[in-house]
Amino acid sequence: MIGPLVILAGQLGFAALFLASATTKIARPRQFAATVDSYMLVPAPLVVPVAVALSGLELLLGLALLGVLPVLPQSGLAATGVVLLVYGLAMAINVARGRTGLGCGCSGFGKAEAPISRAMVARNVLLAALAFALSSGEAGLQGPLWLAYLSAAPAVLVSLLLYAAFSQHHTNRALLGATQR
Amino acid sequence: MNNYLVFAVVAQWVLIALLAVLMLGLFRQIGILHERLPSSGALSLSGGLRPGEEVAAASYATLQGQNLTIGGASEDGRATLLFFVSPTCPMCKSMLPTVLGMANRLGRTTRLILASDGDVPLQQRMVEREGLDGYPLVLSMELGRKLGVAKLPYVALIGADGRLVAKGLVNNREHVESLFEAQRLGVSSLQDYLAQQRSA
Repeated sequence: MIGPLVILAGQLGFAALFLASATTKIARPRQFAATVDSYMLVPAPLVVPVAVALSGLELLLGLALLGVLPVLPQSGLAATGVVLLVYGLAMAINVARGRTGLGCGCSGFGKAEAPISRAMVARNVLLAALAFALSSGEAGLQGPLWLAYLSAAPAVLVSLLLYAAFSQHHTNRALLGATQR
Repeated sequence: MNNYLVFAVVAQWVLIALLAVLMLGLFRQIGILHERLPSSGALSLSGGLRPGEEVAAASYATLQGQNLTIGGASEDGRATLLFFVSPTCPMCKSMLPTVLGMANRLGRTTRLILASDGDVPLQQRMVEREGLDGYPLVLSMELGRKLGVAKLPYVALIGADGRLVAKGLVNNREHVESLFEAQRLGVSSLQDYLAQQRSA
């Protein structure tokens, strides 16, 4: 029964990530459209539709992972992995082009928009791998649902805090680089 | 029940491990910052006697009517901390508690002399207002010129041997302490110290 709880924790964690990201994008649609445009991967007339589609997709994915929509956890997690890989690919292409000044268009977990980098691409690949690994598990939750959520919630909360902390640590490295040696 | 416990324990070990890695990174960043961010020191302006030079002994009259000797080897083996102020300088007023507090603490090794110049009634009002009765206040433009005091609040530290140790513009406690640090380290200013470090 360990498996299903880990999967639930993963679901909730990714749900939080996507919902935070989606609400940021929906709250500032023009800014996100500008971000999509800056990646130079989509022809100009398609920028706004793509931005809208991505915002909507992240929102739906977040809700699906929460269990609000009639979607299997495994499907939700697999879709999560795919989305993360696609984002990673978009970043990788631009990093390869040398255009590392772009914002990552991520969620509002950090304060500043982190610039894309190889480390960011690696982060997306790792998260995608985690999502795919979880999607292949057995999600048969036994016992009362509230107990399952109660067990998974602290794990998710602490993981998200650690995620934010590591992100800040990564941001600090750039700031430290600016100080004199 | 057992499954929930196993999940909780495994999850906690994983998260504790990540926490430990994060703390490692955190302390490392703090260490780097500590190395790279220099402390702030009194701003040493050019003009007047230079650190290391001898301050010629001279007699000065205080507002309270005494005569003090500033410069030359000291009679009681103490260093002299000169604090240049002005009744019309708000920063001087805010620095007073800090400097007076330090002087009280260092009384055994260092004597504090306040210095200013100008309008006697204004000076007397300042002494009353700020409670400076217990400290000698020298009014002398010549002393300020000798030490190259251009901006206030200004502090100059003269060693017991009559040599100027360090001087500079001060805006906070750290600046004043830097003068005593300079005395301890045998350098004339923070700028001097940093330059020595870089060339080392």
